[in-house]
Amino acid sequence: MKKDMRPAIASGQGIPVSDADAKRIANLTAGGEAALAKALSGSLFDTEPAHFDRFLIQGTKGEKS
Amino acid sequence: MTHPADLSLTETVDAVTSGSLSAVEVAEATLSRIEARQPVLNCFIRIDAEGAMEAAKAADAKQARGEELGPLHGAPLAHKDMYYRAGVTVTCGSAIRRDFVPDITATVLQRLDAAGAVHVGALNMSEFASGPTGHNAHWGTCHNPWNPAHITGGSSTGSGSATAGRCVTGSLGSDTGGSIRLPAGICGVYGIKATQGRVSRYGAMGLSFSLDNVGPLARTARDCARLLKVIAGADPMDTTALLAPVDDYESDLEAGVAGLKIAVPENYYFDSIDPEIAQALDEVLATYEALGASIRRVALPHHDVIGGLSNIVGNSESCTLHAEWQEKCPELYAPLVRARMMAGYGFTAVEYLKAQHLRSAIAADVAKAAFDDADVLFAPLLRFPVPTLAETDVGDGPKLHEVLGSINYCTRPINYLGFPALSVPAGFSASGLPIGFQLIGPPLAEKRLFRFAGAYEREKGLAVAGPDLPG
Repeated sequence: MKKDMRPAIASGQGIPVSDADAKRIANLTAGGEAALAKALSGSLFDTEPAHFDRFLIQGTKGEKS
Repeated sequence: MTHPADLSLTETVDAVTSGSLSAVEVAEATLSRIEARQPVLNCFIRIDAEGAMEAAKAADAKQARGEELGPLHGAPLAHKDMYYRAGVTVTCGSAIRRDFVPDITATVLQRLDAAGAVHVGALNMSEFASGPTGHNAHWGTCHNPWNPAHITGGSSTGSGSATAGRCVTGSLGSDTGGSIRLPAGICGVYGIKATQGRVSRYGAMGLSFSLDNVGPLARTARDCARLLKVIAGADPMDTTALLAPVDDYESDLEAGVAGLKIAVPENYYFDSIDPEIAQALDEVLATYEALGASIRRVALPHHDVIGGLSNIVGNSESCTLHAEWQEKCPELYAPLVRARMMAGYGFTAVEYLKAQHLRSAIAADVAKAAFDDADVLFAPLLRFPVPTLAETDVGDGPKLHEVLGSINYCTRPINYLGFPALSVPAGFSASGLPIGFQLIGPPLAEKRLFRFAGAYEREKGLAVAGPDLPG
């Protein structure tokens, strides 16, 4: 996404965005955008956030005695 | 004779239940200690002397009647000022909530009350739990008991300071990116962020519902284990609280670690570590090896992206909670806090959901790499000696993210992964400030973490003398 679009997204939500805020938003979201680009290696079809909850309960070796 | 306020939580409970001290004597000593040390530490936002004495008298009366006593009977506790108690002001460390009075009581407070704890007041914290140092523009800076010029770590600043400063026997903090573990380790006490969902969050101020954790800080491994056992478990008022049975976290404290394996990461956590800290942590590992544990070097996947994904989730969720106030009264936030919450407004809904969808696969990959051939993962808490308040007073300036990001670098990934992580004290740096390390486990392995902590504590002991403070 173009860097200057991010502050506009924030501003569009009614949040006061100064020039310093805009720069900050652009910089911070760039990090998140880069992380997503790297982390996404295939389709997210058949995934959902609740799979994480299932992992917490089932995807563990469990406590060893 | 030991000052009653210098007793650990479990020592206090033993003293009161055995009759060698009364709960009233403990409360009086605690309040006197707090009065002496609060001007130096500024760890309290509110001290409830009257309530504490009433609770102490009720505890003694209960004992006199021969009633069954709880596992925290008579122990003075205070908590980060973000836990709601009906009819009592909860500030969340902010100006916006300076006069907020909830009409509900947090499940964890109810459980601590039922266990017999004596509540003595509300502790300082970073505003809205947003900040890893100790600065608070509205309630004043909180100070490290070992050297008040240095940070306490945050955002559970008062919890770390008051517990290490021996003003209370333990405390509840909260941890969204390190906010229990950092003040625990930086102040030289224990603190645990349990498995995501292990402890109910009902009645606790939220910051990021996907990453928030409630947990205790305490001076000994046993104290910390006991507090976690009291507060953990399913809660019909918080459907995200896990239904898994709660272990007896104290039961393996003396089981030793012979034959167990410690994974040490080859990447990320030890990058650019200060030589003094590296040496101290090497000595910790050598202690574990001497106790019969073995070391495995592991490469951890995904640590180049977890920080960014965690920021997408955490910032989006915290911005959502604060949107109304950010729009209508942004000037009531400290500039640092307002600035930290700005990024979330720039992420799209799809980006947020992608970061959530990725979480289970990433956590599973890291768990496989870390725990397939090891029992715990060992990591630093802070990669450099504890900095001063002056060095970290960056406001909303250009160094904000660099400085704050360096402080929670080792703790932040664990919240996205959902794993339990225990901060363990490991002595002091040459400058006299605490050094700590993290023990990280697969989901629901809290008992195992305490087993490792107990073994280290038994071998090395704890600092007998507390910090050099009045009272």
